[in-house]
Amino acid sequence: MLQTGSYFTAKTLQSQRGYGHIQEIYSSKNWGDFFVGKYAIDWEAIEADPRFQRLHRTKMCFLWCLMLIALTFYFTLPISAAYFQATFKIKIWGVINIGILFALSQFLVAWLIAAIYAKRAQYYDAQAKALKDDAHNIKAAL
Amino acid sequence: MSQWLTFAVFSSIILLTMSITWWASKRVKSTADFYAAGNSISGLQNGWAIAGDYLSAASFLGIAGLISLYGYDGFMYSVGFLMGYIAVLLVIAEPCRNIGKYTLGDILAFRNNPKKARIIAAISTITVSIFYLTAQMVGGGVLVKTLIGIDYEVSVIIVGVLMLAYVVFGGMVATTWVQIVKAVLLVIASLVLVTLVWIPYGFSLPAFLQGVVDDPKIQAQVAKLLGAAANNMSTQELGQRFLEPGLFLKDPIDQISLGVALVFGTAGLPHILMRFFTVPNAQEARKSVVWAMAIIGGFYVLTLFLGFGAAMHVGPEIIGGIDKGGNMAAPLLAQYLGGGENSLLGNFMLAFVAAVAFATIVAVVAGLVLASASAIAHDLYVNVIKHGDATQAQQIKAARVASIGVGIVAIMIGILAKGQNVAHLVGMAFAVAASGNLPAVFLTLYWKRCNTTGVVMGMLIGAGAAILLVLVSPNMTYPLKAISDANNTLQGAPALAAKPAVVSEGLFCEFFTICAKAEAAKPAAEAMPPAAQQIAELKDLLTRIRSQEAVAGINAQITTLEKSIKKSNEDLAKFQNQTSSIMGLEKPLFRLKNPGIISIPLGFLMVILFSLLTKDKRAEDLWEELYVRQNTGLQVQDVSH
Repeated sequence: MLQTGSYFTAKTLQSQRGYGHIQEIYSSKNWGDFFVGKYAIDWEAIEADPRFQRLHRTKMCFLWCLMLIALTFYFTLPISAAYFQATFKIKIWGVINIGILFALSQFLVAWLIAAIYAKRAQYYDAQAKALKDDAHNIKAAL
Repeated sequence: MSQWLTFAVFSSIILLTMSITWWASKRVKSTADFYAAGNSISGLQNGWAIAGDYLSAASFLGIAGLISLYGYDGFMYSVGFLMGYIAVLLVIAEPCRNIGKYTLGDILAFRNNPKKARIIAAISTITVSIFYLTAQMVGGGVLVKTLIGIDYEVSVIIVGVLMLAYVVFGGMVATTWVQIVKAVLLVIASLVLVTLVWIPYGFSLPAFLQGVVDDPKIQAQVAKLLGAAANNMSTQELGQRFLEPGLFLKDPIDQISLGVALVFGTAGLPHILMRFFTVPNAQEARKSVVWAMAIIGGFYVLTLFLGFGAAMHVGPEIIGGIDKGGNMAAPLLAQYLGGGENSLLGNFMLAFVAAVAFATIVAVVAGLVLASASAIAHDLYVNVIKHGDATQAQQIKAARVASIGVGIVAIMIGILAKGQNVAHLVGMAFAVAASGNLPAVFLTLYWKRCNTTGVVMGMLIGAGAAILLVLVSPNMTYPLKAISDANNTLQGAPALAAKPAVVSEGLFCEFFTICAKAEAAKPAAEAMPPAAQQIAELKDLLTRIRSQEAVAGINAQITTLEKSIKKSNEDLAKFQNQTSSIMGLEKPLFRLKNPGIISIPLGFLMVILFSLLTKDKRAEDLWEELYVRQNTGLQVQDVSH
């Protein structure tokens, strides 16, 4: 099938099987045909496209918020272990003190952040895919 | 007998990894197979492989050991190691998959001057890998020597040859699958140990920790760590203290500095970055980080039980007596749980855990060698020297030759570093990665104004500062201090008068020893008798004590004291006519052991400063393409320069 492959064969393959299979196209020997598509992409026009701008804005906002929360929560641990030892020593459940619970909670928070991000990323994936499928039609206004 | 058993278990694990390599060698046909396993690894598989890379000797043996010796502080270490993955997940993994092909150099060369970017990326990759690698080689050599009893040099050569076999024949395919198999074995072994440790407490966390608090060996360890401060504490208070911070990490700023390096360093480690090129797309890269975080986090929770379990059953005195860093805690716990020193099952379990730890070291070294070899072959040879003009066959040959070269260097460094304290080298690798690689990669991916000069200067100054600060830090050996410590051990330490509190002379003084930093008042310390006298007193005590456990504890203390006498004598001979460290200093110039808190902001600042001072048309022109690609994955893999 790839013998007469062009960018469009590649693209159809992608949409039929999902882009996990791009590999097949790359490992084929028909690089020449494939490159035809490359120069057709107008990167600046895509960057300026309102859909890309929206993706960029919402994604960055979300990423930095998560990152900030994660860092603040993490650094509270070594800082309070050093400066608020008395609080860490308060026993809550048998011999288990606030310090141990706080350290364990770090694991939960890390997993929670990973889960929230993985969930939310699917929403960005859909937006990116729409742009990707349309990439060859986005051109700068003449 | 037990050595033959150990030998048999080691051999079967090595045989298993060798068959993986043999299988993988048939699948390595192109450069993409060699460097990136042909992008054929799934998210879940890659998650295990990343976990395998990360659960190196430092974190499996090291953290379990730290917890067994110092309790809570050891556990705090592991939290930082896990948090590093948040940065990887949110800002590094997916863009790297979308922009890069095989190496750190690919990412930096995308919009910066390709030659300069590749040269600096290769230098940095090799530097970070060598630091990390030396720690692993020395750890591996010591482990094999302790368990099978062959010479240290021979052990290092075995580690090196095995690792080279994985890399040269199986490339990234073998390195990844050995890593996956080993990570699964490691997790299974730990689950078995944790189950055995936890069963007697009915799988209740408070009951288990109550056991820790009640344990006389742990109480004795805390008393030893606290010294005079422990005099007025009850046994329960001593035990409880093991669950509280401050027994190991004493300087708060140093502690925060270590945290910064761990959190930002992971995202700059070349052998971890390389793993994101083995999956087919950004979605799988994301999945692999999520899996890795689940596995690594779960594993670190297990180390809490391994460490406390080893402290209760084996005892900190014995663990610390065999290895000062506590690295043998997990293997010794396995031996105890299997039935002890003279039982077949006990020795089998010891051998199994040790063999898995050994496989860990070999596999991690293989990943590091592959990362360095790809920097030399792909970045320097193919793209800088041959201007990207090399056939597949030439490229694979270059990669194999580079691997062998790096491997031989690794073996030589391993042998030269015999007996050196290498524990700080892993921390240094993280600090260099966080101060050099991370700012360059991060700003290249996210900041439009970033350019070649910024990246080159930022990496040089950031990484250089990290290395320089470690060289003048308390990590180095200072002969005058070593001589005075040795004399204190041999002839006894004089009593110290109480010291009043000191007021800091400024923020700068908190980091450098040029002026005084803030210090709390110190109570007077009693004189310490000479070690020989302490041994005599302990031996005298032995004649009056009957309890089996107490005798074992005292014997361990005697062994420790005898070792410190031996070491003091060696130190006195070694440092006889020396007065300064290799940097020509009589005492450390930098107060912290971890340079991150200074060198990481410096790295970021330098990239920003030099980018703003210079103009680079290519970096500006390619910004839109890079930014669209990293966010959408358009034309993924098609990064041809």
